[in-house]
Formats: sequence, structure tokens, C-alpha cells
Amino acid sequence: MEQDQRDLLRISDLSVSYFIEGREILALDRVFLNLKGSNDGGLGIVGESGSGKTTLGLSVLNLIELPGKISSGAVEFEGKDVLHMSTKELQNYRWHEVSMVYQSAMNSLNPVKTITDPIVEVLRFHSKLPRREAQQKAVELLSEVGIKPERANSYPHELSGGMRQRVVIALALALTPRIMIADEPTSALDVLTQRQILSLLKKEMKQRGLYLIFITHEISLLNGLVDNVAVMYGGEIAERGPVKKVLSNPKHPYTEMLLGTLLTLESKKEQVSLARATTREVSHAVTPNACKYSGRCKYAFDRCFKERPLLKQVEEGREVACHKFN
Amino acid sequence: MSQVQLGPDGSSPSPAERSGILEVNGLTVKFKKNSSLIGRDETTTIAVDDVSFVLVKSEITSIVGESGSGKTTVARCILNLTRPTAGSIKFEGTEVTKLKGKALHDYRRDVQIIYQDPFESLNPRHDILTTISIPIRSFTDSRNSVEITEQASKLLEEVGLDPAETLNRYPHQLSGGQRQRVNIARALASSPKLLVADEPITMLDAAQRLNIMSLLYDLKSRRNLTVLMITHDLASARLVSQKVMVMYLGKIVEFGDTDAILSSPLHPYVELLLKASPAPDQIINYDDYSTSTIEESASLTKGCVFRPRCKYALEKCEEVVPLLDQKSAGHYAACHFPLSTNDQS
Repeated sequence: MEQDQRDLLRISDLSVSYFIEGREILALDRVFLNLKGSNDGGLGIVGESGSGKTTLGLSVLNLIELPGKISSGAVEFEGKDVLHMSTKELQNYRWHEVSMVYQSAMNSLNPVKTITDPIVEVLRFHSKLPRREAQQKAVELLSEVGIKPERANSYPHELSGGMRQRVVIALALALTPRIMIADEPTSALDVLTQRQILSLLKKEMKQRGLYLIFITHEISLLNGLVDNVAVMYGGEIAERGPVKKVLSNPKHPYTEMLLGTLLTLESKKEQVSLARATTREVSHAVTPNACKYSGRCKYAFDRCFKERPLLKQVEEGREVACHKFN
Repeated sequence: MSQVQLGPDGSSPSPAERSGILEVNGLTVKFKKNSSLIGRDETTTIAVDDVSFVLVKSEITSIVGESGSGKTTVARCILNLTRPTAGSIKFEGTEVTKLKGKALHDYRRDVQIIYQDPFESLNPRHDILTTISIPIRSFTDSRNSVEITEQASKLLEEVGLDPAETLNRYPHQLSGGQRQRVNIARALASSPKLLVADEPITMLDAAQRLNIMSLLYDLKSRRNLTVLMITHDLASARLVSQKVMVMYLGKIVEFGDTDAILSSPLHPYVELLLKASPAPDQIINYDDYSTSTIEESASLTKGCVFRPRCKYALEKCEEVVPLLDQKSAGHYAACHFPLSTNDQS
């Protein structure tokens, strides 16, 4: 790797397994990822359920717990080895440098506490602010994410899903992190609320110079939100590149399928039969050495079933893990 | 009252079509909420406000709206799971809201539902055979287990699952798309005439959404089903449904043939929804989305409730509630200044 030593975040050769009922399930399989810094416009991670995108987010925070285990690789934040930090170092890393908005986090707010309480708690514990100041800062944070001060003493059940998601975003911003990982923050919301939440994230990126890692299964949301995308399949990065190029000209057959089966206003019923032919829900059993997508791939040839393709640069700034490009 | 009569293409429908399979008239649902422990300070939320429509047999009608628009409450009333405050619902001429006992049981055979969340709507301790055999036992004549297994297998095959692989599995061993297929198979067990699908694809991966939509469309054609689909995106409504009904805060704001609504929307809310539909080759301008929400609309007491989010709102919108009117053949909208007609003048 010839990149600058102080990339914002560097993930190299990361593998994570879950051990369930005596079986090892490989959730991340040799993932490489470099984030240069806030000027490169954020990263979207796209993939279906089970592709390892959430595991990747958790690994960045060193939050993989049993039955999961990081079996190899490294995560470096500005050159610091995240996976070997002491408890104290982790306390100063998590939320201070990298925070995370969890999937369906809006349902994880404590129902018997007001929406201001958790933010105050975080500020008092980490920033050692006195109660009064913490309270004031919390209200400021809430209004930054679009919750009026008069709603600051509401309880979670009094707010809509979109509003609760705003609270969780305020909580993630509380310690002014450099990176925010948002794990499907809008999947449970309707289209318009979704757009509003994403416009909020976009605003925070601009104003705070926040680096956004946006995890989603909806590839269509990325255009206009982040500049880069990594498409994940079966715990591997299948394709990586600038959002505009990947969306307009997908290289990996999986990306092509994702875009081809996207439900848009232009979708046609004829497209459905095509979708059915290319998206069998149970992928064929693949041997360990084969390309993981080979069982579902319409282009698969001999080599795909025998040898795993590695991520290779196919043109300036674009990397694809597919034998088609060799 | 805003009565919607729908014949195909706005032509005068034959009497049989006019009656449709399900007629909803002046449906209103109010929820009371105690905001203090001792029961004073009652606040009333109007979830559904004077909604009338007819479902035409063998058609797919979509109700489109965001959370809080009352679309699910309408569905729950149709399924007789929520008691309306006012209004009537007639299924094949019979009043649904007052059904009891045997008559209600028979009604449940005819009207079935697919729930939104395939992860929570299946009992995790029942294998798929058990799950599907419950409605088979209660709604059909099959009694012995061989017959039931056979019927369950047929249903699974119909929804595109391999019975041999699926019957003895438990929900956690299936993917989201497979679970939703099981849900559909279960709903079909009683051979219903009307199927209500409550956001059937919201919780699924993008790649599986088209599949489930296509399955729904195939089933409709094959079984001559009438389907009421609830969704929050116009793209899925467009793909399968013949009629679209857009709701905002408990009211129908636009109703008509799918093609008419998508090609020339009348209500500014529908325009907004159309703009928010996914299109991967388009760059989304996230700055365009105002922060005004449905909650602000809900606090309004007079005028058009959509006004805080409407960029076309004028004085009249602040004072007068717009009623659902027929603006062109078969195309209804509740707006003082409907869009497409503005463009023409």
C-alpha cells in the first residue's frame, strides 16, 4: 500500500467470523478499505442483509463481541491501531472520534427518559460538563438536528420515527466525532422522512466536516449524499469507486443486478421476470475457493467456480473483484 | 362528503362494477388518548377522516401515504380489527363493521392480510407447515394431516418456494423474502377474495422487492384476486396497481387511475412523493427537502393541512379546507389549485 501514512481510516485484510452452533460463519472476508479524509466526500456501503456491512461498521469501533471474533487484519484510525487499544484508549476513541447511529436505533431510546437525558449523560460523562451546561448543549444539539427547544423534554413515544432518528443523530454528534457511521438510519422511515433525515446528515457533513459512512441496502439513496461507494457481497467488497460512475456504469455483476432490480418509477413488469431469473434467493452452495457470487451470477464461467477473484483496479479510482475484468 | 365512484377509465361503469367488491363510505376513525394518568385532558386524534372509496373486483388498488397518514387504519377497519367511529364498510353488499360470530369467521375467510414485517409476523416456534396448516384447518375442509401437508405444499409452490426444503423449517432459517412468501402462502390458504397487503416489501432487500411485487401481480391475475396494497412509495404502486389513492393525515388527497396520477399529478403532495422516488442515475438534491413534517400539519385547525409543506400555498389554503373533487374523468384531488390544470391554463 503506497497511501499516505495518516489516512483517516484504514482497514486492511480484515476478517470477522461468528461462531454459531459450532459452525464458523465468515461475516467479513479479507476486507481492505482506505478513507483518505473528510474532503473525499463520504462513503456509502451497500449490500443485502448478511453481506457483512453492519459487521464492518462495528469492527471500526472495535465492538465485535462473542460469538463474533476478529480473526485477522487491522483497523487504523489516523495511524492508531484500533483493535489493540486499551479500555481507556477505546473510551477516548469511541464516540469522540467515531460514532455510530445503529440500525433501528430510534427504538432503542429509553422510554422512561426524556430525549435530552441521554445526550446530557454522554456530555457529563465524556466531556465532564456540569449538569447545567450539558443541558444547554443538549438542547442546542437537538435544535441543530431540527428538534425545537420546546420539544426537548418530550419522551420518545411522543415523537414520530423520524424525530426519534434525529435524536439519535444528535446523540451521535454530541462529542463532535470525525467519523459518523450511520447503519441503515432510514430503512424504517417513509420516503419523505427519509429524504429529510439524509438532508440533515448532508448538512452535518458540510458544516462539521464530518466524514459519513452510510450503510444501506438502498443504492439509489447514495447519489447526492456521498461521493464514494463500496458494494459488499458475502463479506467481501465486490466493487468500489465513485458513486456517480458506479451507479451509471456498474462493473460487478452483483452491482449490475442490484441496479437492474431496483424498483423505480421506470420499472417495467417485464423487468420482473428478468429479476426473478437473476436473483434466486438461495444462492448455490459455493466451494470455499470459488467466487461467492458465482452461484447467482449470469456471467459465471469455469474460473469463477475455482478461484476467488480479488479486488483489482480496472480503471482510475475503480476497483472490482470479478474475473470478467481479467 | 367526498364520494368516489370509479369505473374503468372514468367511463360510466356497469352496475356490477359500480358496486365493486368493497365499498367504504364516510369512514372515520378517532383515537382518544389520555394525556394524564387520572384520565382528564383527553385528546382526540383523527386517524381517518371521512374516507370513501370503492374497490373494483380483480383490481389492485394502492393506498399511498407516509407514516401517520391513516393508511394502515383504513386497512385495519376493512379487516374488522379496528372499529370505526363512523361510516360503513360493505363487502359484497354486507356491512362489515357489525359482523360477529360465524359471519365474522366467514368474512375472515374472504379477506386476508399480509403484514409488513416478515420477521415478526411468523411464530418463531412454529415450523412453516404448522404456520400454514392453521388457516387450512380453520377455513377449509381438509382435516387429516396428509391432506393438509399436500395443500400446504401446493400453496408454497404457488408462491415460489420449494415445499420439500421449506415445510419443516423455522422462520429464522429463512431469508426475509422467503418469509414474506410464507406469509403470502398463509394468507392464500383460505382462498380469499380480497387480499390486503400492508407494506409487503418495506422490510425487504432491494433485490427481493421486485420479486415479491411480481408474485403479487401474478397471484392477482391467476386467482382473480382483488388486492388493496398499502405502500409509501409510488414506484411499487405504479408497477402493479390499476388505481392509486394517496392519503395525507387521514384524508384522501388524490385518487385515480395509476397512469393518470403518475403522468399528471394534481396534488402538490403527490408531486413531492414522485420526486422522492428512487432513480439511481439522478443526483438527489437533499437540500430540497424542507424540514416541515406531518406533525406540523397535524397541529393545524383550519384550511388545508398540507399547507406548511406546500410551495404553492396561497391565502385560500389557509382558510378553506379543500374537498375531494373530480378534476378530470376518474381523477380526483383535494386541492384548491391542482397542478396539471394550472399548467394548462
